[in-house]
Amino acid sequence: MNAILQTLVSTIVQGSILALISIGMTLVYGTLRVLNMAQGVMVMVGGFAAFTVVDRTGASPWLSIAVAVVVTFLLGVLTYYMAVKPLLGRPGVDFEMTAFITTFAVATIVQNIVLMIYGPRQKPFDPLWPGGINITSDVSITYHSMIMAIVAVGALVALGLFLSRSRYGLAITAVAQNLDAARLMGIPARRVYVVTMGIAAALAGIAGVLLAPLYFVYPNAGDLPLLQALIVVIFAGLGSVKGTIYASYIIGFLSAAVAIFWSSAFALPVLYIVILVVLVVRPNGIAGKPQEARL
Amino acid sequence: MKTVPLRALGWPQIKPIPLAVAGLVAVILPLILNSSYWVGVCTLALIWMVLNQSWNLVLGYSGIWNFGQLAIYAIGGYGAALVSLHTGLPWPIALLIGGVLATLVSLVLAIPSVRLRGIYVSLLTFGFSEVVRLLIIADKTGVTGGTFGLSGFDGYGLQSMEPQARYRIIYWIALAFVAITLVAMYFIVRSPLGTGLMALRDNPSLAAARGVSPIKYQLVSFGVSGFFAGIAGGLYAFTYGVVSPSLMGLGQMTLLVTMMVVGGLGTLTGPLIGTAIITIVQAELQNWPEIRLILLGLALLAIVILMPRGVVPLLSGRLGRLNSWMSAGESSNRSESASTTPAKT
Amino acid sequence: MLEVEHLRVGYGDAMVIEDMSLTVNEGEFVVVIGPNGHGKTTLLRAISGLLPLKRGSITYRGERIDGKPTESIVGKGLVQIPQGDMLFPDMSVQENLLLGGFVLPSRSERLERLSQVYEIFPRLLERKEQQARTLSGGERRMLALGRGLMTRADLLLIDEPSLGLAPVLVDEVYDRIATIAKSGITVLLVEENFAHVREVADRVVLIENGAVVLQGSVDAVLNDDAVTATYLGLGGDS
Repeated sequence: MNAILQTLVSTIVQGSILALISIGMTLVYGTLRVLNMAQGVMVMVGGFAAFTVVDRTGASPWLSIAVAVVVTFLLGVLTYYMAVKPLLGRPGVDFEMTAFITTFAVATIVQNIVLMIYGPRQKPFDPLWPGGINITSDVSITYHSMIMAIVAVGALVALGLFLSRSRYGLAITAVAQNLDAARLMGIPARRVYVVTMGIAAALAGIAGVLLAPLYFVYPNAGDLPLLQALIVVIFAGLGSVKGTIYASYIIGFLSAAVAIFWSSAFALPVLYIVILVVLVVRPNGIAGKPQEARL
Repeated sequence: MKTVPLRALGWPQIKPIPLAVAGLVAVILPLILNSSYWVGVCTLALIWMVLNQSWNLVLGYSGIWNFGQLAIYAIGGYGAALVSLHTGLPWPIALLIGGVLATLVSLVLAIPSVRLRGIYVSLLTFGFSEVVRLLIIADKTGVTGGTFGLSGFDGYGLQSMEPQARYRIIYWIALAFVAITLVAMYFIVRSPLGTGLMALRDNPSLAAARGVSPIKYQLVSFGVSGFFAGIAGGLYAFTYGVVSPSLMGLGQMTLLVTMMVVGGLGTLTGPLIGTAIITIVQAELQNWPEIRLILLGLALLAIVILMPRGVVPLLSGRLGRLNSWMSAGESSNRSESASTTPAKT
Repeated sequence: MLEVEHLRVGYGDAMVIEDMSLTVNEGEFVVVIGPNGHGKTTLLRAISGLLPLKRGSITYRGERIDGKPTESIVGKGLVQIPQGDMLFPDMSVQENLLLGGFVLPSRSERLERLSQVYEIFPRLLERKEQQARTLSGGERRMLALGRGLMTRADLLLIDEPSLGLAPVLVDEVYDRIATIAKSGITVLLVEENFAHVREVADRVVLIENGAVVLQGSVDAVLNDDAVTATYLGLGGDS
């Protein structure tokens, strides 16, 4: 019983964070048809931005979230200009594969700049709220985990409202559904691309701050989140926002279950085998959309 | 009547003289270079050439977005190292076993991959590479040696030899494998297999209609490239006496992809030239590891954006135009149709 | 109002339009007819900035618009209702319409236009929360038209409004188009099936193989043997 409760708790927390990281990837793929390999470093940079703010100014960690959002948003925009914009509209170039390469080139660059500035050692980061409570004698949850879940879910809900209600959010959704139609409505496709990449990075940045106390802040902190995000989006099928959210919680559940009932070391390989099976059965993921050229 | 130049068919042309010269230089190189450090650098370059040629087969010629080759390479290395460590088999057998192991893993990876379209293959293969890397790092059983890697195996078994001779022999062994791989690639590309793979890459529906079975051909591509990647891994293991997760990862991938892109994907000599160029650049920057990777990342960005076809096609294009200019008497065919100006959307 | 001069457009190396010139005057209703594949849709895509020109120019109200991004062309009042509707399948009717009004400066203006469009297309009002992918063929066409009307269009480009519709629905569609045209909007419409052209057009242009072969008044063109020759027994009253 306790194990099940613990699994449930872990599922909610992990799933929410996964969703935060992965949804950026889905959004960018949906609008730009780019698999943003720099999404992982955005998580890492978010953590570092928060760490720097707290470390240098002693400001509240909550303020650091805001700073992380701004920094990662700008970094996302920069990634667009460096890695994506030069490739748009070029004939004879495989856009998706080339963008895959350019975004991971950017990821390497960012990772090493951070390494150069901060060094390889892990930096500590305090939880946003110390301590925790015991639900039962064997199951406990830290306040920080609760905050993680709340903030993550809050961000996701805000994103959902933005995408479905606001003029700009609908524009992003429109571009993802039919690029030419969107342009014919007068929607500025390029500006949509920039904003989308910024938002995706910012969401990852928030996740980075939330994860910092758990995994510490160090230059390779983005490697695992990137891999996890890839697993989620494969499972969900690229481009489907709803699918990504469901997939995040399913993957969160699997991850937690394997860790609790077996061993945390096996979580990743089990997940990988699961998506392998999924891909064999459904080559476009659970809810994925077929390919459309991006020009 | 105009005859179609062989080049237009996409077949590699052997230019015997430059090849012979390069080969000669490569063979006597360790005798010229005084420093063992540089011989070591060149040996590493040769190992990477084997790897990159194998990777080029599946990525460049077959158009499959395989980003898991580093894991295959590492598995080949671990395989050869484990054989050397736990058995007394001679080193060529150990290398072979490493290669076969890598082939098998590559084929397993191929099975889901051939059914998927482009981007999912890259997700799958990259994911695979990372999972393998993280698994090895987390390995506490001692089989793979975890983060610090596997060492203490005999490898080539030249420990008793004096250093300079030893480094030279290791170099020449690597060079031999580069040559073997080159010859293999040459024959594959010119064979129906190679033509079929390129057809699948460029026009899959037409190829399928002509009876080229995508699954069969791509499985073979994965298998062959896996084998040579595994050999490269074994060469690495035996050259350095240690094999660790550092063979994989984002930084390594950036490095090797840059080499292939610089040289030119889908060309025979591209991987060789690209590897050579970037290795030299790398070696110069050895003292500043982070800047090195930053510059590499920037270089990769720049090359992919500015010269996506790489150096070899650029050069052969220029040389080709030079040739036709020199042999102009009839109107030389100057028009490669100027690429259409893309719309700025 | 719109001047297309010596247009040369295609996809990659394949040219669809070789040398096309035509003019649309303010307030006119011009219909371009011709068999499929001869450049009608390509023409409209080029005008809207979705395709780059190999040669030629497109001038709108005295201003060159070729090479400009689609969104700025739309902003100038040149709106296209594309072939096959190109709706946003996972959005509701209302969301589709509101997106049509994207370029309008304020929400209140968008809502105002929305109610105007609902007046012209009452069936869309009935189905306003329904997902676009679940609409019938005729309803989709109406939605596409309505969406195009949400912006302050001065020149409306309509691409094959009869495509894929049963004759009864085609009648209805053209009925609406006629109403729209009467309000003063200039229209450039392309069609393969010219059954309804007589009732709406001021001027007809016949194209073949990417160039204009004949243009003039409705009677002049539709009675000309060139039309039958071009269509080679295909098309006509289907």
